[in-house]
Amino acid sequence: MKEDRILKILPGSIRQIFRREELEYAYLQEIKLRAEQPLLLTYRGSERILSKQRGQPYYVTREDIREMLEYISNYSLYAYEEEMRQGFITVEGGHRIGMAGQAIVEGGKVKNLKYISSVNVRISHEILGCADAVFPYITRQKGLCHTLIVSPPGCGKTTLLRDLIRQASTGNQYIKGRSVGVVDERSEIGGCYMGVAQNHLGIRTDVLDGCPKAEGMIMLIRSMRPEILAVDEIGAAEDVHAIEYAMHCGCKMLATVHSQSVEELKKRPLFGQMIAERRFERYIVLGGGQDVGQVAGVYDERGSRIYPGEKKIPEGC
Amino acid sequence: MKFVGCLMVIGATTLAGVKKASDIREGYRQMQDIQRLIYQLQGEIRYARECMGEIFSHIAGRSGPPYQHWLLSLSRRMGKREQGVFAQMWEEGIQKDLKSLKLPAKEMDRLKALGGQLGNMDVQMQIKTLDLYQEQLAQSMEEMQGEIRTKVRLCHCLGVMSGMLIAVLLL
Repeated sequence: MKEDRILKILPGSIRQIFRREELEYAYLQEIKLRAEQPLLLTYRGSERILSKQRGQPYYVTREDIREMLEYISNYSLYAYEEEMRQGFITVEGGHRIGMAGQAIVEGGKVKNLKYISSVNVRISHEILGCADAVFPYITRQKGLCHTLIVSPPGCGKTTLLRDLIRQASTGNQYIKGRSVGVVDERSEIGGCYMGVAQNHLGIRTDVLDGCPKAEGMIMLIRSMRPEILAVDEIGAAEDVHAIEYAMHCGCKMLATVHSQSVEELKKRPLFGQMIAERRFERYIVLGGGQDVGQVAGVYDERGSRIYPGEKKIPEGC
Repeated sequence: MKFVGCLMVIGATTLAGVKKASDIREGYRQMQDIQRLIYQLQGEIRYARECMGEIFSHIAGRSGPPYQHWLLSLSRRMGKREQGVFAQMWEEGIQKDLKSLKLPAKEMDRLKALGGQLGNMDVQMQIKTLDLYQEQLAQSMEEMQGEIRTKVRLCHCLGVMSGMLIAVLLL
């Protein structure tokens, strides 16, 4: 299934190479296509050049890129105008397709992209149970603490968030099943296809797909009464304000943010204030190891590390 | 015997004239169908911003033959994502599924060429492209409407007259 979804977006000639290579898609992280350059993969954590024939690298052509754009946009680039403005499209299965070319600028803002010459496919991975290790540290009395996942790009924060959502929604030994609202602005969490999540997000999860985070959080609070709200990659001021609003409404927050560490995050004005006000009760920091998704530490609202280390769940969660 | 033969010749050419006149009328009606389909496509792009595969499948549900089959098969082929560029699929689909249409050759070519301008860039550009197509189609329909009566009458007359001419020559 996963293999099919990935192959479906690749141009015919590259599709054949992939079929011949017999790759294990669970270890495939990125596919990089640059016009007139060799086809590159990130596979099992290292870079690999795919060859057409033995020892001869496959050079990506402009036609390959054009064909791929037709496939990823379902032959309808206009339907992804908003996404193109941000430089990426999320396809069925939650895989993110980043693009680079020449920007069309209007009124000082990027309106669209043309002459696309580079395409980067970031493969979305669904790893059921990858959040098992952190659950004891982010729950209390069968409920969830406000949790922020802090991670540099490509370290598995969305994968971890997805499993946290699934387990929080279905319930496990640490948490009673709760209704979870997911605002999936880039369709990466649920990998929605025609509004239906293709990834497992649990039995009590409502997904608002393709909606801006701040607006979506408020819409979900008003319409679906979630006990837990989940969002990916917060960053803008309105996201932070919407999170504060959601917390005041009694929702527990599960969110992710790009940063190397909590210390780095404190330097950003909006987040620094949030941390100082102890809005989030737990911080899961990813990275720092060779493996994707490796948890570097779980911290409480005071900044004390509670995992790994002394496995003591502090008071006041 | 000769008289019966002449009658049959005149009957056949008259029928051919009637058929030709009916094709002209049918061509006009089919242009109206295409106009309606393009309006629907434009509306779905403008308001629902759906992908073309989904739009074709929706429109097919509201259309009759041969458009229904054409749109459904196009939507299916797009779903497979194996056929390369859209313009080629669009043109092949027209050649295969709409070959029975009686559209004027100029309109058929214009319809085939439309595929090369679909699915690109932004919604505004897409709508403008379809607007332009609609304008040209409406202009062709207006011209055709002005000529249609004359052409139909001419076909009827030519049918009968050519039959009579052949009959005279045979006699």
